[in-house]
Amino acid sequence: MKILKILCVILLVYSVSAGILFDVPRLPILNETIRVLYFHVPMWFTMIFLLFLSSISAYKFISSGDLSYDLKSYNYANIGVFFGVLGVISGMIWAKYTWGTYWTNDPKLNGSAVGLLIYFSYFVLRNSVEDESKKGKISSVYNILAFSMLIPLIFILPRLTDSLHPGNGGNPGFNVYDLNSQLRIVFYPAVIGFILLGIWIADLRFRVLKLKNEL
Amino acid sequence: MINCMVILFLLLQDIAMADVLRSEGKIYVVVLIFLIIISGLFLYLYRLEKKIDSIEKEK
Repeated sequence: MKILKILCVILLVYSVSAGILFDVPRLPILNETIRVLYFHVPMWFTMIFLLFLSSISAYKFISSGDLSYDLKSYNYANIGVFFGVLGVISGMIWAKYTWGTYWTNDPKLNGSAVGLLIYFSYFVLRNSVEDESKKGKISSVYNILAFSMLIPLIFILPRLTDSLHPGNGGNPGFNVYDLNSQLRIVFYPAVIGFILLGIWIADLRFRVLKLKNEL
Repeated sequence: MINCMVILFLLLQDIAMADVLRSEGKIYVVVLIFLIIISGLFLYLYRLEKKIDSIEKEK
């Protein structure tokens, strides 16, 4: 666990400094904002990873009935959605300076917004049930449903139509023409670094929740 | 004449200054500030973890 935290610090320190200093492809419109790729996209990777862990924990709760899995599932969803919100905000600012507007009715953008709203209602649903085990069961089932809705909303539906967002529709993603080795040597460490940071924060928050439950 | 030579010598000489952070459009300053901010955040996480550790041990 400790080695992962040290790795997280090293990778993020590296990706922040290399993300600003290293050469990037010179592209029209994007200009220097291509560096946002190193920080905006890892937010979504981290969100997906944490929400995946959340649905796994929800499944484990349903099959074992152990309430600590339910708490874990809730906690992962919480941190995952937090990263998702950071992803939306960073994406909106990036969009303002490249597409000219904060929000367009783009399938990728709306898909991610709907996906996040599904998770917001997860928290509402969860907090509206008083009984502990009933709360766990209902929210776990909903959690698995929410994750299986999120995947088509973010990864499948936007690819079926035209989209401004790279990686979808008729618009090739960064990896097709310019996620070259220049970008990769910063992008992948940043993704791993932010995922480790997400796990770290989730771990701390889980321990606080557990201590609070014991009181 | 000697005065002129001295001034010319001083102008031609490469005078060492703390140019490292100022070169290339001061981008290193930005990096330094980012690093300070994220190291502050990491320090905060670390302290928080220590605090949780001590509370867990008390139990």
